[in-house]
Amino acid sequence: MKCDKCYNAAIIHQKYSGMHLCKRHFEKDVERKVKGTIRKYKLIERGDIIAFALSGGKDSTVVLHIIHSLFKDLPGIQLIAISVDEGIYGYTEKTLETAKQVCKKLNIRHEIVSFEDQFGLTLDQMAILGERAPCTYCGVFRRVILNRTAKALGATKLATGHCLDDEAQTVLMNLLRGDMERLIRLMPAKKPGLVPRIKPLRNVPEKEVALYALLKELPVLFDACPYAHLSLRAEIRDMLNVFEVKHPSTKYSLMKSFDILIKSLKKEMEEVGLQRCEICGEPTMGNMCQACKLLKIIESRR
Amino acid sequence: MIIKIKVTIVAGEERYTEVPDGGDYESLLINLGINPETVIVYRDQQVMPLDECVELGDIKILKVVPWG
Repeated sequence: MKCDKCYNAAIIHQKYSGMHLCKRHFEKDVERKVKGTIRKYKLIERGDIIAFALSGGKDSTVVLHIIHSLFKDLPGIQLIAISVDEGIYGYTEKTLETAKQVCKKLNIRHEIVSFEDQFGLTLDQMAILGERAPCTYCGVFRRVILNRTAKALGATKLATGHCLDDEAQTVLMNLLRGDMERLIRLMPAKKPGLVPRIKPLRNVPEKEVALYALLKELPVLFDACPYAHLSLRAEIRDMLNVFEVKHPSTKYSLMKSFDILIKSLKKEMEEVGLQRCEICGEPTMGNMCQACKLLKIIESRR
Repeated sequence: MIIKIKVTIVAGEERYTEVPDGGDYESLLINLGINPETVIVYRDQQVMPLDECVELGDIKILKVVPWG
């Protein structure tokens, strides 16, 4: 097969677009999608200090690599990486090592913050003591650590490696749960106490993120988190991938529907204002944030 | 005609599967019970588009998206 844009051999057939692309045009296509997302949602502005949630996996490494290559020569934009040490035996050591390599290669300041230092427990301990799925604790506590650290570093944006698959899974998961509050929160918004999150890979399928990382020879880890298969997200991910093979462009269509739906939803639903958690001071919708509620339950079972 | 193909699943086992002459890599993956959205296929160290016809060679499958 030949590339549809030149005479080189194709390395990918994008069923959703019908295009065959060679290595060079595939890489350009990924970068074009990222630039398009940044422009469309005005994700990055002059003067931004962007903190990257860097796990050492393919998604966060690729987003950092692309943003670094696009903005490294522009004055007035500063990049920092934050890695969270969740404390998952046999897994976190490897992901953190990869994250360190990435930052060293790009010469980027790297902060590592652990669950144990911040909450007194590793995720492994939480998984044993708590009654919720480990992914619930991980999601909630990671969010708190990332926001807290980004704020302390003076960051104006918090960039994550969420790709098309992650976003489509979240949309479908919240629709199936009937959780419109969370659905609305997917859109970037400025809220007091929260560093605005940006997701430049929102339009790039997960498999293409992986292929980009391999072609660019980025130091990435493909190991899956040992807890990942226990989540509802894993079921939705598998279901969406089956649909995508049978009906190409399912994930894009889902996000397209979300983009239309969210405009009406925002008008329909009153956005809940944030206040400070009475225990830790982090922004929350009630008196106590989710992290403090979960911690209280875990502590009572110790 | 049916061709018998040996594939190596990276960090996994070696398996044999059969594809009809002219069959593509997507059908090879489906024969193996692998979702094409979750892997990258190499033949002789080159990344293959999944609609390319399967040819004999050193075929490796790299799992890049968690599954199951």
